Amino acid sequence: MNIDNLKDKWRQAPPPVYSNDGERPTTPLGSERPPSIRSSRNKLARRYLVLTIFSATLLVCSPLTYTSLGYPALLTLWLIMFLDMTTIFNFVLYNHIRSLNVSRLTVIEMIRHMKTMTAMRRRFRIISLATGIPFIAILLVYFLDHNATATLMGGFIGGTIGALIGVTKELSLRRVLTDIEDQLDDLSQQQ
Amino acid sequence: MMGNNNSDTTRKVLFDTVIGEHGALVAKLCYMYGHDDHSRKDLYQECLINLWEGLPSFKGDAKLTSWIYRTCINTCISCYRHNRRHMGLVSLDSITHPAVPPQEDDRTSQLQELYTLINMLNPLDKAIIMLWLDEKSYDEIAAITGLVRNTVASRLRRIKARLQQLSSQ
Repeated sequence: MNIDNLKDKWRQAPPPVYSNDGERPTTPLGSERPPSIRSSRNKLARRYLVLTIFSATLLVCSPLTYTSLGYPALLTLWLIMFLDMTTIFNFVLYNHIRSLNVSRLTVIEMIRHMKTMTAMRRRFRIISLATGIPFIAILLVYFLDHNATATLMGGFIGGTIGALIGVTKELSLRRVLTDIEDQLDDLSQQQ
Repeated sequence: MMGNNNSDTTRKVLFDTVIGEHGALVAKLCYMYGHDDHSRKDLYQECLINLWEGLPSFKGDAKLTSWIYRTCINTCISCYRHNRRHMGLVSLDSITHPAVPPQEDDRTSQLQELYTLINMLNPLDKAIIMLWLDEKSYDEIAAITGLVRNTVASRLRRIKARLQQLSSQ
């Protein structure tokens, strides 16, 4: 196959069709864009904003676990620390995604942003897991002391499922990060 | 208020031009970065939304096609995580719905093979070879990708060699 000879053919080839009846994707916009249509980047940014607001609200309410529910002070302090970090992490990610402008960045800058973003999400997830697991452990010990067997079992199962999901996501993020790093390493060697 | 109406009208006119004249280019890029019909359609919608959102920042200091390329490639790359697990695989869709309609023509079958082989490259290499196939100059490719001109040239040589190697396998 001589790639150089295929240049003309490539340019003249009709746009690809996506199904047997020759259907092409339709535009969601036409000339007028309905206000409800958002790019997935904006949707992701909004998701992090909602998470920021949610964890900030929980943070404000967290002293109630000590004053009203009578949980141990250590548990409340750990919860405050955990929610503090979660709020900051979600806000940092929200800010990072919001600042991306796909029509201004070069392809390399976009790949670097992807790398930064993936690394940041991975780091935040590891820190959240590292602080969340001791918190759940303290909570379980507390339930054990108070003979709340059903709550204890529920907490244990929930914690295990949460940790498994966290580890799976972490492995997936690590693979993406390795892929992106390989591409950038290859480039820096060439340049 | 009047100014807003004017800028909205300009935006709509420009967007119609983008879709009317360069819709095929966007579809081709999405075809190359998506792994099946569904993901390609999603990418296409995503590209159009980003083109619409980016239109106010288009100042005309670059060619319109270069700006479209940059926006669409970046959009496709930002969906990399979703499409990553299918990289290097040839989807059934690309066999049942080939990009190029089947004809008794050797060059057409070679072009279909080229589509399949390009699909196996990493996102950056895919962008570089597509820009080159679309007759973009090295300087334009460098401006869109952010690579140095010389790196573009050497990278292209490597990509072509890789495609030849994949083709002979």
